[in-house]
Amino acid sequence: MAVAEFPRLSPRKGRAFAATAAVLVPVSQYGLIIRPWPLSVPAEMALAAMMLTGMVLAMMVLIGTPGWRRERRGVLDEREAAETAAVLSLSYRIMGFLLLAFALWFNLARQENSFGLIAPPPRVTGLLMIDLFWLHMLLPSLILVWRSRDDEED
Amino acid sequence: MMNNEALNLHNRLALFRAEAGLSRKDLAEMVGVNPQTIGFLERGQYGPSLELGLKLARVFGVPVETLFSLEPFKPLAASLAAPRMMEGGR
Repeated sequence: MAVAEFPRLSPRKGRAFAATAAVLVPVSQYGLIIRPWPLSVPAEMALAAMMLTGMVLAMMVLIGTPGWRRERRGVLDEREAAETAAVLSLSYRIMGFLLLAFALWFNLARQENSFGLIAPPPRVTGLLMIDLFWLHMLLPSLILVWRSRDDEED
Repeated sequence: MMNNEALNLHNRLALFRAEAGLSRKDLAEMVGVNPQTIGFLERGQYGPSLELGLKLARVFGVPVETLFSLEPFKPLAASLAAPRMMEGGR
């Protein structure tokens, strides 16, 4: 059975999509979920549209670059396969440090501490966990699109 | 940094490719890699597998050590001048 393949994004497009998503998603999350100020219906809709656009762009980066995407054997050449493996390993380490930092911060902030750390409200904690998951999924793709060169001239 | 960065591998791929009048895309198709990979190889940022090295050598019809070396290649002018100097010395 033929499997439909999502076209691979060019590095330039991947970088543009990733940067746009990196702005849209946190801004819309801040406005829509944390809600530091009351929102009118049109403002709510605008923020929801921003969030949706950011998530779609992030998904396109996720699907359109090797990263976690499972490529069929032979689709990546040997350099690309080696680079993808290196990037997955790097992402694994970065996410490990981030999880550790998050766990330390959260556990320290819940009790009295001399660092002045404040425990985040449950809503913010949940949001951070979701964002950490998004970052976990997107990080290999982000590193790959930023490392890739645009098509080279001969 | 890539896993397979070719720190001690020198190559004359760009020279042979230009001599053969091939674009990176042409050469990439002939050996079954992405054109970007040819760029990485030419700049010495990636060390090819033995299989890819042999495929590249086969395209140009030369032994693999003519394309790749662990020692820096002599400048082309010096390589061309060497046989003539030997002839003159006889």
